[in-house]
Amino acid sequence: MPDRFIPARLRLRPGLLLCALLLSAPLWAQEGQYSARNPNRSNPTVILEAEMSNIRASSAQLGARIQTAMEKLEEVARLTSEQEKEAQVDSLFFTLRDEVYGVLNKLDLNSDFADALNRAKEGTIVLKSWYERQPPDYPNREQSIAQLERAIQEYDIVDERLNQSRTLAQEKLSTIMRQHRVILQEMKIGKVLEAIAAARSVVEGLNDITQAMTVVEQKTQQSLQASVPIAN
Amino acid sequence: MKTLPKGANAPLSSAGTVRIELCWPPNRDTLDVVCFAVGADGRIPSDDWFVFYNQPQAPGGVVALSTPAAGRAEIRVQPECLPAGVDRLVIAAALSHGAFRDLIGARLTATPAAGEPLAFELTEAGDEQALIFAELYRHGSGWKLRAIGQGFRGGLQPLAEHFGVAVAEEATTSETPIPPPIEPSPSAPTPPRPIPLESTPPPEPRRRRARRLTRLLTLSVLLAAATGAVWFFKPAWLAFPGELWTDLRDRLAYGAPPTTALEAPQPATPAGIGTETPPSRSRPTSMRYQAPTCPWDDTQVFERYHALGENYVRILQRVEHSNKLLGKWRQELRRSTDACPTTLVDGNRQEIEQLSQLPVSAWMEEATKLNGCAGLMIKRLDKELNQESRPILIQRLVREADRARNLESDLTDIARDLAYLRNKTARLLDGFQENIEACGH
Repeated sequence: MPDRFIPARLRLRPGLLLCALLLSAPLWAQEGQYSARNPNRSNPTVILEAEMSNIRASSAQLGARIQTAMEKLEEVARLTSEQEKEAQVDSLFFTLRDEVYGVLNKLDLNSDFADALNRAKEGTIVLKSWYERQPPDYPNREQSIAQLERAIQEYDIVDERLNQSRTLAQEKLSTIMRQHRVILQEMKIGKVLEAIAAARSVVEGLNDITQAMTVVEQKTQQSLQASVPIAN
Repeated sequence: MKTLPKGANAPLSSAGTVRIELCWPPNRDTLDVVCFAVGADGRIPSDDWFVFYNQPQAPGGVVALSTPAAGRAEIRVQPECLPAGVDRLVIAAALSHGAFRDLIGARLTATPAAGEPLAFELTEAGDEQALIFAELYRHGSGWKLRAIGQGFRGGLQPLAEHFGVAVAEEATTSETPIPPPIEPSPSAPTPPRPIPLESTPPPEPRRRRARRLTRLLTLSVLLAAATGAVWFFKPAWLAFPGELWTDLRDRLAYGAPPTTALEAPQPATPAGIGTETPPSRSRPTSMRYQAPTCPWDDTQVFERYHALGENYVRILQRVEHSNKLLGKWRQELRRSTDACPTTLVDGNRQEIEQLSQLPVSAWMEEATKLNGCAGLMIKRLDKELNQESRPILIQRLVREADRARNLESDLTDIARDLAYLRNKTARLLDGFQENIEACGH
């Protein structure tokens, strides 16, 4: 081997050492660290609390939109231009449709809220099974198991309510879309008052969604309170 | 009748009795149809909930198996009568020899008392000796049927063990198989099937005498071996026969499977005090306590932990990828004005197929077992630490105990995440199916 290569190889040696160290680092650094590789690792109840406030905000926003829509309909009824009335009702329905879409996204089977709820529920199930594996004389074992079981049942109720709210929101969305066309048609043929009354009833019906969302929120709060085991 | 593709699910009316029928070409191998009623942890609450040819009914007859004709098996289920602890019913079948690829075309039909029947036809299979056809699972306040069609290498025994059935083995082994990694694993040998009872002509008197002698001799050898084993493993039973009774009684009362590995220390029972009131049989399943055991040594525990960790990370990435895809496709579907592109439908189907094969439950089970091992490791090290006075050894033991604590902590987090990932996988499957249905398929 020519001599000129030797210094180069020597220069490389510390670099190689560093590379080897870096490559071997995960072997000793990762022990006990696998769960840290989950980017979504966080306290499930904290995530659920945050998602619940999103649901609350969404519900409040829909409530406000309904209120505005009702006021808008009063104004529309007083308008004289038929064309203007049509345009106003059109815009109002599009706004409401987007709002319900937003709510549906929040209530979806795979929404962030559903994820947070299921994460909290599964965490509670694992916690309960951990208590079950402890010896019978473990402090507060039986009480904690009973409490966690209640929390799991509460989570099941929330899940059911969530499903009901989703179905309700889907039904309301279909109603909005169907009625939108019917109302515009009625306006075109001069049945303005009937059309506005129908629109009012659709908008009022959306209150059911906000009520259902309030129930989901209350039930989630109850589940969160019950999901803490008895302190030792 | 609605036919479900592999991975798809549909609601099934749960009122009254649901009849699940499995049909296969009668001229082919005989299928052993089995049903596991499993809880949220993916395991049967007790061996009573494993319905198979030797135990054709679950408690209360809520699940009943019959084979009315060759090439046909029937399972009658009363979903509404199933205890709350049962989350799903897994309908599977095993072959004595051959492989499921020879049984392509086998068909499962679920017929509720009222409502549309659902069907699933096996369209693809490999060299597996056991196959999970479908599962009936709780969904909200009702039930759904999911077509699975997933093969299970190794036959009935590993399948049963996978769902927590304590299988009496011919030869005990301390090696517990690691759950399958996400990549396909090589096939395991098929365990022998139980020998069926056959009607044979009565033997001649001389042969009968010889047989009786052989049996007597075998029995004596077995008895001597058993006594020797008791003397070696459980000397207390010979010293205090009451302990044998206590042990047997506990096993019967709690339904605990026999364990040959580490056992929790039991308080010494003086002779004659073995007559305390046995615990009530009606104790709820969730409250049963089983002393933790670990079938592996520390090195094996850490090896399995690393295998679990690597697979956990892969599952995390896979589920995350699917979640993003679902969101993306959902958006595309909402914005789309034309008919669904074929690529989108195919993509959703592919996701269903891949996700339904993700062994999340198996790794979740592994995490729970390893967590128990870590707990035992901590206890043992703490005990050793209390008895040690040499500073250098104390230092080493403290380091090992810290390592075990980190292990337990990480395993708890992994178990929690895997439980969530299992739940998320089921919801993703529903989401992809919704997409396919939205496309009118």
